[in-house]
Amino acid sequence: MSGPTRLLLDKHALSTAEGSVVRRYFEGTGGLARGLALTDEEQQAILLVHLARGKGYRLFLSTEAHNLLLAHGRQVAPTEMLMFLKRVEVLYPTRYFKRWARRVRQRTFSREDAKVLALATFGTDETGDVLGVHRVVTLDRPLVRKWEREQELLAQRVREMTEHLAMPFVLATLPRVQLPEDI
Amino acid sequence: MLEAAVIQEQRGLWIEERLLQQARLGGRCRVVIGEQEIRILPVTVEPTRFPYSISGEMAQAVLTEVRGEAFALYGHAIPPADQPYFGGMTWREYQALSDTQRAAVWDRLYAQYDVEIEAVEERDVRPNALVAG
Repeated sequence: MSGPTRLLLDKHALSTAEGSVVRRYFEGTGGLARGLALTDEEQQAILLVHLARGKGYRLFLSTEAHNLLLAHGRQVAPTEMLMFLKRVEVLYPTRYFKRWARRVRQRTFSREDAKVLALATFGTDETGDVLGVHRVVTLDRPLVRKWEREQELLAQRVREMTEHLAMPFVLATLPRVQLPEDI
Repeated sequence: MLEAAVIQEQRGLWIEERLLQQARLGGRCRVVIGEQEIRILPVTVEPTRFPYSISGEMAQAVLTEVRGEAFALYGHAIPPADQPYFGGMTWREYQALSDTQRAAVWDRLYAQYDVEIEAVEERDVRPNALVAG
């Protein structure tokens, strides 16, 4: 029993050409309010966020991204922040997060990506009632492809790491990493 | 603009790439030639697939709702372009940046809140927590 499908939005900013779902959401809602035509990615990000609850999904964000939005968004983009934060929850690292993040990092994922991917397996909500999310949602296509290549090996590694742990960690699994349009 | 857009009788109309980026036209625009003007307009191309497998009609309906929500929160007026927006910039200044420059702004801000893996604080969960999978 895993409850409603849980989605973790990718890290807040990317140094690649692809934008993050969060950034595209902010740019898209700002553009909508000003009557601008939206890019595909902006549309995808907005639809992903606004339809999640109605479709039975829970959306999560890392604490780093949440803190950034609280610190900067409250003062300078309050409308976009308000619209966004009322639709997402924070996912907190659990025990074994650091151990798993180090192992993901060894597979040449960037530190930021390794943290998001590890959080998706060893992350919980405010009340500690869940472990992990079902999917990481990103606009970073290279990350999606890299995860597909590494997934089998990492699944083996996570099984080896968790097989002697207590409940619920013994059941920890890897997420799928997908584009918004594949959700 | 005069320095960036060049019209020559034999070569046609040339516009610097940075101006097209600032106008958010990207590679998707169409040229409309009128009697006394040339307009370069964005082409709205809908994605072929949407999250949750919704239809294009539903997507547009939701985006209209979102626009209404944003518009209401902005006091039913188009927010001024010189209003503070993000990263210490106004909306106008932010819009003038290329996508790479915008990403750099978000990267810089994110870095202020990013922490090393070893410095992350870990929480415990309930033994009967719902496990994804």
